[in-house]
Amino acid sequence: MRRLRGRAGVLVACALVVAGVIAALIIMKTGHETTAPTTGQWAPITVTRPSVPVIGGGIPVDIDPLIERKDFSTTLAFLPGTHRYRITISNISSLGAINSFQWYPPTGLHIVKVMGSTEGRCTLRGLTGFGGSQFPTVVLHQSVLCNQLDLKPPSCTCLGDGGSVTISFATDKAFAAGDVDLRVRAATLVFKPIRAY
Amino acid sequence: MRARLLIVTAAGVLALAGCASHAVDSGGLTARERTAAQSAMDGLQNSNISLQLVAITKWVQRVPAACRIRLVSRNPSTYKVYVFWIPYLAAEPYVWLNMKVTNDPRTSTFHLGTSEPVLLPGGRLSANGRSVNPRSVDTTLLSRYGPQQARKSHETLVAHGGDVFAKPGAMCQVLKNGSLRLLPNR
Repeated sequence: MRRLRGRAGVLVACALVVAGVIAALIIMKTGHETTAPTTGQWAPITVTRPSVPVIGGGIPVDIDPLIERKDFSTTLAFLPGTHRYRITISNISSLGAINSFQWYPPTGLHIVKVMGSTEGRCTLRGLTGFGGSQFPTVVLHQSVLCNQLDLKPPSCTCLGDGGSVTISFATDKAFAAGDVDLRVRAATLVFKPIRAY
Repeated sequence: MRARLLIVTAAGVLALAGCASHAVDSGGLTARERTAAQSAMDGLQNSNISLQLVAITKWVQRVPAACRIRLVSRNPSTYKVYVFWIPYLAAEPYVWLNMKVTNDPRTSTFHLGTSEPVLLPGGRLSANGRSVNPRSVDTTLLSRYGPQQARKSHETLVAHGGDVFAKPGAMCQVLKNGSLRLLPNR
């Protein structure tokens, strides 16, 4: 009788061991990462830069213009008075909604004043302190920073139907519409890709 | 005696099985959490996010300097994902993506930020040598700005990441197709 009870105990223990091993295998398998491909499009991203000579840390030739972004379209209008303008900046970006951008006027042009904007907050920025405290009113390397914006994404980057903001400003000399350097500072990306055609 | 030994062994194996799902790696993630995190990242495939991950890399001409995923909530599974680029040229900006990724794109958020690494505008001098041609690109390599600039790059990288480098989390990698892959914690 005692021997029978002992054998039953051994059998129960063996069953427990088998169950434990099976459970371990199942849990290990479900918790393990699946083997993902690592070649072709699944390889880590790399960058192929144009082959250009580098002299003294700079590249002495024009670089590939493909890296220029196209996030905005602009329209310039004249306001009454001398050198007073209104620029309308529209979102044509593939990113999504634009929340902030910075506009760098062309070198040599001085923005005297930003009179207002139809959306968000646009302020004039630049570097002060030129010549120590000798020229307190001189502001170099001006830019206009517009934030608190929500320029809605375009339905297609080809249509120019994204959100827009109009900025009124005055300059010290004539301003040409082509001289606009606009850079995205903040954006809310949309999940679904925006059509390009 | 033999029976007791076997029971103890069985209990050990069962305990091991239980622990297998709860053991955390050096990044504080369990195997199950890693799988769930990778699954959430896979949900971004073929979206605008994966397109932009590739586009930004081409734009700044460098692979991301940081890619990090942090588990912020287990129920529902929510991850903070941070990708930061340091540009190749001084004329290009630092770019970062701060994302809150869930298994539902409607509750996920994707924010992009940029800042200029070098404050002064650069470019080629115009013919008279007194001003910079606004249509030209400053082709100075950012790496040429020396250790102070490298420090600034690192500080900017850390500043915009917030608590994403805390545990539980893991580093990640941007793939050629714009997917994100979780890297093993060492």
